[in-house]
Amino acid sequence: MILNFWIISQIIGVAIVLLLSIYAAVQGVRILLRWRYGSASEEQLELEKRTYLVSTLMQYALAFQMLSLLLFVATADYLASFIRGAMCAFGSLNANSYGFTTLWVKILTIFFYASWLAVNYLDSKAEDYPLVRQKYALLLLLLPILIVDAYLEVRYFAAISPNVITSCCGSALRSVENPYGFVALRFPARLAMLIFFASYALALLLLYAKLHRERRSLALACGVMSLAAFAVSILAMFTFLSPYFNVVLFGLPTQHRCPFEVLREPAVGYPLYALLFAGGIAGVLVAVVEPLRAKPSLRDNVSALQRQLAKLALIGFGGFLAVSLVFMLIFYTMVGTIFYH
Amino acid sequence: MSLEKHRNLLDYAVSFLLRRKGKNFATVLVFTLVVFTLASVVMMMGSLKQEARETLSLAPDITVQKIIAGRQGLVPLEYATAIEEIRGVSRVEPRIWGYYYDAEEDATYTIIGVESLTGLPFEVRGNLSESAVIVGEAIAREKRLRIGDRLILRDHRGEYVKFRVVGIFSSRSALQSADIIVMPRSEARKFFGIPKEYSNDLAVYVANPAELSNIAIKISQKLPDARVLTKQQIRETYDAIFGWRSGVFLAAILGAILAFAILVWDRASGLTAEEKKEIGILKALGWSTGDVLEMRTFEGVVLALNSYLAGVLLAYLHVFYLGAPLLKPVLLGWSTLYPEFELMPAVTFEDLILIFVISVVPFLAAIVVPSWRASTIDPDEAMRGI
Repeated sequence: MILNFWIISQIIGVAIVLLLSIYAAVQGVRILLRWRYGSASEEQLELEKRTYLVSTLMQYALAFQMLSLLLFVATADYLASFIRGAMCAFGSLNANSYGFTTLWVKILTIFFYASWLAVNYLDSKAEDYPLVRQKYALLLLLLPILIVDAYLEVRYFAAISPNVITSCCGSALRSVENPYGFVALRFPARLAMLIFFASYALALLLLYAKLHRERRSLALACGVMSLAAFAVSILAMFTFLSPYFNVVLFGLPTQHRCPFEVLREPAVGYPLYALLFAGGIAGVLVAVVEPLRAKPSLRDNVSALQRQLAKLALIGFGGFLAVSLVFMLIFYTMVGTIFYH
Repeated sequence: MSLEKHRNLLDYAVSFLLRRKGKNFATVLVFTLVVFTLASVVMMMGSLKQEARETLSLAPDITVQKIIAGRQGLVPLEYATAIEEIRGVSRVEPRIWGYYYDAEEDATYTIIGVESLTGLPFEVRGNLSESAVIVGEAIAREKRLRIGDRLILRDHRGEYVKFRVVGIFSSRSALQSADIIVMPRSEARKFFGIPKEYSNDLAVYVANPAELSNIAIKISQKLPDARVLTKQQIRETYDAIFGWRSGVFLAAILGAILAFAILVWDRASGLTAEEKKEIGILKALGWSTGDVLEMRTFEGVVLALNSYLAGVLLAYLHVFYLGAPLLKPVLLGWSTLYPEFELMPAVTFEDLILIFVISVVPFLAAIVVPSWRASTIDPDEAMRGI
């Protein structure tokens, strides 16, 4: 099943990300081992130049990894037409045990990349390179995750088998499916709704407070709540939120609770998820950079960055919530209730 | 983090590019060509898939064929009655159809026998009386047929049979109708020499689509020598074939993409003395390594985006206005059998990302290290021309 345009390009993308990251890691090890801050040797000068290379490589890798996530979902959606019983990306990701694992790992790597880049940004702002060791050690931690990501992805694609017409056994193997859709997660919808709105209220409140107050516990709480809100949003898309989009955009029955369907309307779907990711990542980074305050040369920069991140997270989460509410409202005018469960 | 600074760097990058038109022209040309090729394949694939889907949306829910000694044979009409007895089947239609090779035009047509003109998957005008045919647009064009003209075909015994063209039809999806000749069922039966108690296959219609697979199973249990194809299975097969074809194509040009990346790497690494000097002066004027690196990155991005847009645009024109003359022979194995047809524009957002990832991403990855190298030149060395 590997010989398919989409799959080949997906693998090209992953290979490039891996290549860039490995190259960056090799440079990182070199810097890690030889770094002598304060030395005026030629080698130190060369290493300082190389820090530029590593940060550029990592920026590219992050951008490509984001694209790769996008393409992965698009590929899965495309593959749905080959896979028996699959209607959209959900079905194809569910086709074997690697699909969803790959997706989660990909999302995780994006959080990692973003964290690394935030640390890198702060480090480059300071005159004395205070974080060189931590930074490059972190880089080495990232590498195994990327390798796992690439491995899972190749395994996933390798395990997919296209179903060419297989005569009568083909129809015999086909099970009687639910004709309308599926409920992916058996989770009480109203409870999910409650958790969703509660966590959003809390996350937005904390992030707003962070704009005005500098407190260690507050920053950490922001990170935790942002991660929670991000996770809860995904849960929500699986349980109660997606039907609002699916009904309004495509007129699908409310039983069809698929978080990928909305991507079939790219003008809505991609910005929606972009907002969610912006919110989640920026929010988590608020907490990630907090410990760096310990370095005196970074303190002011950390505060400034945190404020910006908190703002971005507010925009992201706020935007996601706003778009969701708009669709709930339209749904309400169409159906007469938002409690369709 | 003022935006103004980045904007100025971008401005400078563009002027840097424009001052070296000659050097960059070759890169842009090759890059555009790469994007063009990839985009043409992706767009054509998308369009064909769309077309196949539209065709299939009109196909019967279940097609039943009879297999004799592993090959397809004629279906006895009693099979139709047996299938009709299955609960949930709304209609069974024995179909008479087949392929006809026209030696004169070196093309293969599909002849379909119909009982009446209603319920055909395309719009047909005219009255279908005896020895009358309705032909697809492409056949009419190729054979210069007009309504009222005579069409002479050789039947299964090698005898020439005269038909009168009473109508020409077209449909939005050209693949569906381009090569089709519709004639009365009895005529088609006679033409192909199919005995009265047989048909080519059976089209089964099911009242409730949810029961489709169940009914398919029941048919194959009841008629063990029948091959039962559901609409879904046919669609999957089509998709797999299109995916596979274009995959082979991509695998074949993968080498070209790699070569392109190496070319880009090489060109980006080989700075001219003049370029070196310019970078040296910039650094002496107070630009940091980061600034020069950003400028060089912008250069690559501007180059890449322009080539990407140009390539995609050209591919769109190539595929949907010109009908993909360069690709048809590769991707359409059956194109020699098919009369001309036009491709419907069908480009999705995902297609554009796909093209971006295969062309722009390798390019950008190839220029990272050379850009960094260029930006870390020491100003004194650069200006002294070492």
